[in-house]
Amino acid sequence: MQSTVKLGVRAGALAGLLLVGLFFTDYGPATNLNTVAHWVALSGNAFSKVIGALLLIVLGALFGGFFGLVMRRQPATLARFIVVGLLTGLLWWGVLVLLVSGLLWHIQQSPYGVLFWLITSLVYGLVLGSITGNMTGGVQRVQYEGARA
Amino acid sequence: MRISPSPEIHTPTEIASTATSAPPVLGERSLMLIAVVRIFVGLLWFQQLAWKMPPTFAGLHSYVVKEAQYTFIPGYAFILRNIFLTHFLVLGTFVWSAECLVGLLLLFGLFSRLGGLLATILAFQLYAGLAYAPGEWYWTYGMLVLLGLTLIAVPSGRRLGIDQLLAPCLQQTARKSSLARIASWFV
Repeated sequence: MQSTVKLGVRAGALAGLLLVGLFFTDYGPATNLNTVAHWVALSGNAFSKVIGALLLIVLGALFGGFFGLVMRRQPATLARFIVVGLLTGLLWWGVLVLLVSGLLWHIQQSPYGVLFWLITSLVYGLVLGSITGNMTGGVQRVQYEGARA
Repeated sequence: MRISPSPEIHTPTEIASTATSAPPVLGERSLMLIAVVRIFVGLLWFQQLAWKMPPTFAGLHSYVVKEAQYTFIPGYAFILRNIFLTHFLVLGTFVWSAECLVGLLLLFGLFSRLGGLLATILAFQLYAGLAYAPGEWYWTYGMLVLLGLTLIAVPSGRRLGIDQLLAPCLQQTARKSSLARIASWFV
């Protein structure tokens, strides 16, 4: 049986991959992936979007590992996975968006931008918690009709 | 409705009939795929907030004017011109809030069928107003309506969503509370 930390790393990488998809889908395309590359001072070149994408997956795995560490000593209920996942998403927003992007690099955000980064960070956390919860098992299958009975 | 195995069923026709009437069970991959689709549809609605931000909702105005010119529903142009455009800030607040709500419900898989229902209503309004305007492809808004309908039909929040937690609680409470029964329709 895999440890919770390993599961967290895998789920975090997958949640990071989902963020790559979400950040790719804009008028740029992928303007937000440039912003992510800027967090490590690697933007402004031909590969900055690819760097941003890879960085999201790596950071996703790192935060997922941290999530797994926290969850290691917790009772494994789906509710707990999702709540701690959402808190990890909030931490992602605080560290990467507020501290690194805002305070360190002084990247200005529009009101929509502030909302966008907060919501996508929380989506990362939700997906991280949900995937880890599903990987640990115990989640019921869904029946179209049975679900509503 | 669940089908329980019956000892009286023997003939191939009876067995086939039972198999086709049994509720289909979604596999884990299908559930994950539909959840990812839900998240992207949520992003679609959420992104549209960017160009009509409060307090002026400026980007929205030209589209409402366009709807008033090209709607195919008789009388709708009158309502748009004399009620919605004359109270544009109220309309803007309503549209922005509704699209924000749809985006959040779908992104977080929270009452995702309600999100699908609201998305369908908003998309149908766009279809009625803009589908036959010059420069528009009518299927754009038609597809938006169909996406919304799909998210009503399928419980897309049961993976990668908060509905995963809500659904069992609501189903359990629904036996005692009619409010929970109604709420359970929307997860």
